[in-house]
Amino acid sequence: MPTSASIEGRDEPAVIRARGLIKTFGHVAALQGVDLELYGGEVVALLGDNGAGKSTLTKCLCGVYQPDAGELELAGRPVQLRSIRDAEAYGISVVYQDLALAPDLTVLENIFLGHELLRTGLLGRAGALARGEMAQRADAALQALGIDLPSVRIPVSELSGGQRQAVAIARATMWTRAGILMDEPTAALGTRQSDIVANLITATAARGLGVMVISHDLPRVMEIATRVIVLRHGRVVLDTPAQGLSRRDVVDAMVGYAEEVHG
Amino acid sequence: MRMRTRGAQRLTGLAGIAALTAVAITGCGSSSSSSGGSKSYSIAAVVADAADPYYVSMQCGAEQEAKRSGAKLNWQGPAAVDTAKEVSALNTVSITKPDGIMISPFSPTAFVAPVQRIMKAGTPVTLADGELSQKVAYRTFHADINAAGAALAQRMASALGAHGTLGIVAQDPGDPLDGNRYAALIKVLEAKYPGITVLPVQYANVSTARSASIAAGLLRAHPELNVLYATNGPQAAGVASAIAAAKRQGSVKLFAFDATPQEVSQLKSGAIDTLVAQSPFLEGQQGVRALVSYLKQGTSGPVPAATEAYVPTPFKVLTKDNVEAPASKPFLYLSSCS
Amino acid sequence: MAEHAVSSRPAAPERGERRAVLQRVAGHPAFWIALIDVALILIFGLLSPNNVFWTLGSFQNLAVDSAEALLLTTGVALLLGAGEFDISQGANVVLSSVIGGKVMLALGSAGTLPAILLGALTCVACGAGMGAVNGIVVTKLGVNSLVATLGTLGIATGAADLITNGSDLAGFPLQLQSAFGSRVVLGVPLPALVALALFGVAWLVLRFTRSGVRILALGSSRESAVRSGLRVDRLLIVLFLLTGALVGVAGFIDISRFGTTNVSGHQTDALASIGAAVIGGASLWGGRVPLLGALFGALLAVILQDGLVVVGLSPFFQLIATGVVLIAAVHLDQQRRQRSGRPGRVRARLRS
Repeated sequence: MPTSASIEGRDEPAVIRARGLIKTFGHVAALQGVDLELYGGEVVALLGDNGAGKSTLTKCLCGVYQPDAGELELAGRPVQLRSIRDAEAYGISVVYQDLALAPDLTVLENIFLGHELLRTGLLGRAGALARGEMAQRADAALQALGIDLPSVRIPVSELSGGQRQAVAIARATMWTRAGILMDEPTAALGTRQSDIVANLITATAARGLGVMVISHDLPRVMEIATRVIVLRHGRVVLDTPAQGLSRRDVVDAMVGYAEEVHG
Repeated sequence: MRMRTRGAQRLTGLAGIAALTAVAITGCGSSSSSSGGSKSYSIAAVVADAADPYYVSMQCGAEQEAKRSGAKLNWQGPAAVDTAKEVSALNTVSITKPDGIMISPFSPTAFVAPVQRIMKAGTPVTLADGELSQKVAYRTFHADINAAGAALAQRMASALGAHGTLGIVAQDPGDPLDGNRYAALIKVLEAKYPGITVLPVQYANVSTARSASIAAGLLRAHPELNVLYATNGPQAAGVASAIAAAKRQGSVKLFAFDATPQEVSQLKSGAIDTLVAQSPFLEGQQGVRALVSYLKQGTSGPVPAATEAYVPTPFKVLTKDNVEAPASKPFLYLSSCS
Repeated sequence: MAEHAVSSRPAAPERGERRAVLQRVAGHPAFWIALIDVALILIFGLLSPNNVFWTLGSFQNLAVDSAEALLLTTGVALLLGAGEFDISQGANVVLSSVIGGKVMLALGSAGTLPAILLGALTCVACGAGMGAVNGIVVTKLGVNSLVATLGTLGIATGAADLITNGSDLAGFPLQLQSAFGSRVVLGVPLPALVALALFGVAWLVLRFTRSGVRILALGSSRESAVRSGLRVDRLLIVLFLLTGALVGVAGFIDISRFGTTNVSGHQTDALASIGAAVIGGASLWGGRVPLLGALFGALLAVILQDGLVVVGLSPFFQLIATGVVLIAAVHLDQQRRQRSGRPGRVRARLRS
């Protein structure tokens, strides 16, 4: 069995702690007893070949799927997630591959969608938005993450792919207290844009949030990850600090050599 | 930069549209300018459905009369029956302050207030076809529909030898205009020709297809049926096709109201035995004539409303024998004036 | 509202700012439609006998003729913003006016004012009810709104025919017309004032409130709305209900202007209002509805209709002209979208 690397010596409870997660679809056993933790401040790369169970695991962690068996603890409390909204209530949010931004709305409106700030007094009761305050907070959040946009008042459709990804991540960090799951955050981006997003992920973790990144972009994700978890056939086959880990080790684990070596 | 090209693109496009619209308007406008003369009255007409042959025929009659008396005619009406649009058209037309207005009102109530207002302002209003719930117009022209029903009953009795069974395909149970087209017929048949049995009225709502299936059902259920009556053109076409499909052309006679081009051709071919028609042509002609003669009196101030409900215009019972006669011509509905 | 107060960049120099405002105005779809409206008013005024198209009476007539169209267009524009259609509007106008009219006639003996007020209330409630039905069918039964409202279009038309036997209701109190339908307040016809006020409310809501942002989010990306935790079904049902209420108001205006219901009319109302909203720059794919554009789009059809009558041209031209403008507006809009690089929201334009 693989060993978990960084569990010992932590004071705070894990943002996410999963024990023995099992999920089957008909005859397909997508997850066969997954154990993992995600702590605040770290960037965990969740790796694995196609069909290894990465996507199913992510969906179990954010409430899209309900695992057939196993336990899930968020911030030290056992939970059962029935929807994404449940997960968000516990401080976990997801940045999707397809971003889930509304292209016609402005950056500002997207960042605050579902969390709008209202004006005080009668106007606020009528639902009037406090756009000024929203803009200040959005600007502050964007600046803290080092994101440079021409304006928060332009529609998302006028942004580049990297800028959109940045907005999606900024949006997630603003409304998340604990952890962010990112599904292929650099998949659709060019090199320069991917660099921007990679920096952003590091900056997000530096703010104390736990970040779990699912990616096929092995070199890049190895650069920013503090820990690497490899899934194979629905099991965790490698869970180790990224420090000193070679790309070769990871690939071996993904395709199955690692089991023989470590097992 | 991008914005400016976008704007420019829009501008050229929209300028094109504006130009096109302007060309259409001015181009057509110049052709409708009136011939000069001593005193040319401007007359506006608003009908219920500008595309219906009935109103096209009315327009032909009105145009002919306008030309004769040197008046200029502005013909308006929605492209499909719609009370709101027709009243709007009347209100808009009244802004141009024509010397007289002729209306063919689709609603008996909606036009009362505007007609009162226009008449009070000194513009005479005549009604061609249709009647308002109050006597507010200067003159009202339409056929005596009860007399038409009685004439139809008489013709039916003579065609059948006063014995038989009649099936009626009408429009809508609540439609008063349509109801008039069979109420008098039934009344006269029951009073004067008890030998003719009238089956319960069926409704097809101006649908040719529904008329055909209703008529087919009646023919199957009542083998003794020997006459069918349809209250308008589209219904007559459906009934005719059902009779042909049942191969009963010899034993079942078809009567119908109106004289649409389709009905007239079926009358000539023998598919329809008898038509009873009003004359929208004469209604339009008399509507305009009454306006011009009022205007020629030169009276000013509010126009007095008529005391009588309406001035009857003629109707005609058309058969194969008389349909070609010149006297029948004003009763045939036209799809264009020429 | 301080629209430009904060930006991530230092403020642009003043000259640039002013040009930006100009560009914004010129780039707004409503601007071009308003320009066409004005141009048409000028043309019709010049061509009309004694320029009567430019008189107060003519403008009042335009206003009152626009009232119903404006209400329907506002409603459908909001729905388009949320990515939904409503083609049952015309049928809903008829059904609301018929049921409201029945109530008014039944209460006639209880006094004119209560009869009129309750009749008006019934019209609005019936419109809202029909809207809610649309919303429920779309959300709870999962039927596409085009199909759902095609269904309720038939249901409402049939119900109105059943209630009236296909013939119009009449005999409403005369005060209905004198006190509301043909009343002019400060030079403006009352029905037009009511429609304009409701349009104003809709504009404020869409532009300045949370609900406005959420409506557009629904149309721009339903997925993002769901993932943002918006209660999509509830939002849509409320939206359908409120736009239905606007239709109900149009139904009341209908009977109070004409003193009769209009059972056989209103058949092309829904398509006309969708056309007006699209002419005004609304996207058929949701997320973008310049309501001011919709206002001028609705006016365009009425100006053409009344203008052609005034210059004495066949009413058929109005249909043709509106059709041409509709196609041209959508074509230009699509070109604009292609240049800004998002016909299918796939192509991400890189900013350098």
